[in-house]
Amino acid sequence: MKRRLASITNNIYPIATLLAILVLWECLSLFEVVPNYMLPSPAQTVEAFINDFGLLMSHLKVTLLETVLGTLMGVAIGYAAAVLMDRWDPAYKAMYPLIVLTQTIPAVAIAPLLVLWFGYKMMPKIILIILITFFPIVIGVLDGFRSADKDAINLMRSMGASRWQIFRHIKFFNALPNFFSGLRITVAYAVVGAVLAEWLGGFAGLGVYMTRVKKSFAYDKMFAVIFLISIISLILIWLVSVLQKKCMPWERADEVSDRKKGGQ
Amino acid sequence: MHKLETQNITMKFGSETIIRDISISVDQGELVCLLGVSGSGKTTLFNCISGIYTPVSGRVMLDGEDITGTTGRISYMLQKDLLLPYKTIEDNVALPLIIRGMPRDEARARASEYFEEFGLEGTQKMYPKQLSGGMRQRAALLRTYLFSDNVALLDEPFSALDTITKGRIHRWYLDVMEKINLTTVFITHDINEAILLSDRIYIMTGRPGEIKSEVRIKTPRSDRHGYDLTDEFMDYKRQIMGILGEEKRETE
Repeated sequence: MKRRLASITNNIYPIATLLAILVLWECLSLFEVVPNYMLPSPAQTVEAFINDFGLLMSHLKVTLLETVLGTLMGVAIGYAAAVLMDRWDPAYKAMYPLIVLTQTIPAVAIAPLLVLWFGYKMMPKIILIILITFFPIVIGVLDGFRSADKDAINLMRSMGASRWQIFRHIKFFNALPNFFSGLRITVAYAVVGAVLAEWLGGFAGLGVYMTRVKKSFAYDKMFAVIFLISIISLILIWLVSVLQKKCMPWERADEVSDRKKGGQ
Repeated sequence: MHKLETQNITMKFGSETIIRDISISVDQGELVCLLGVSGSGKTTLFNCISGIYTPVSGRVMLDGEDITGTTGRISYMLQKDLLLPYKTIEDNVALPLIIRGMPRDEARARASEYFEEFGLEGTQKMYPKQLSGGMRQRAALLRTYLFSDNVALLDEPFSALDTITKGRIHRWYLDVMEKINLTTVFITHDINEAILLSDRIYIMTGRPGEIKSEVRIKTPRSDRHGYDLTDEFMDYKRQIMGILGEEKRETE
């Protein structure tokens, strides 16, 4: 009970700040401090969102599909690369610097090239998302594999465990927290990556919708789609947290025992 | 024939000899202690016996069979309990059976038979973090027991516990050992612990590690409650401190 109360009071601060910003913004538009065509009011944004809801959803479907496909593939490739680099040292030595190097190339710079090479359909979007997703996963997971307790591994070896068993019982679990924190960053980036790639050329998706409303100077719709994108990102981040809790029940067990200790 | 025997084991890392010519033997059900200062190579010897290292020379014999450099035969327990934080106690304890290829449910069932005996009843579904240090060591000992071919190596298993918990776990340990009849080699640098818990004590000297002397504790383990307050206990302690003192003078 106390805990729930604490979580409500903790939430009050950001919500209050957000409300204050919205009120300020509404006033700015209402009293035309900033011209309305440049900065539509929150009310107008909501109205635009409701009016265009059907269209937004049909574009959202495409963006989400790209995000999910790209993320799944990026995660799978990233994980596989981490396993390979952990198992086989030459792979680590050969690939690690290159992987870091790829991260110095801005996504904005390669996106147009991808569109040029792979056309206006889903392919370049998915490839861009794979590139974005790959890095946090491979680095995080590899770090998790490598930081596994050496004594625990030795103990497993003394039990006669195979490399696969050591992976399955120790390394896999040791990398889980890193995997999920990587995934949390990744899903947010992935949505932005999808929109960015759509922006540069495509037939459907929120990025395409954005360029269209921008060209028609419908800034209220522009704001509506921006909000939609952040809400979708937040939902995806939340879903990753839910998944993490499901996959790592021992973390919650700690909380239970801590609370018990506190109650004594 | 001894249950476990090391024959003239020598181990080197590079040109440095860590342990030299170590021959110890343990009989079925016997509790033998390796006592020595830090850096005398006790842990290296354990790694050789458990098969993690293959010694430069010498052999490890289990029931007369040469098992030098073979893992999976002799179980091992460290000061750190090394219970995996993401597995429940029952899965942690059943792990050696699972590694040997036993199906998980069967392994759990077999492990749970011992929970009561080890004073772990009711902790099956708990995670290691929910247990106290003493309970975790019990779970680690049960895991060690389930994995063994009836021989266990314990490397300072209780040294991280506070004095009161340690006293309790010593009594518990003597009781449980009486019941399960586990052949054990035990490393410690605590003289009291060595006298209280073992049938025989090998005293090791350092750099390179060698067996200096052997002390047999005559009082049976079943009569050891309150033993650390007796004159006999103090005599043994004086004798061992004398041997360790000699060694110190020699190295100085």
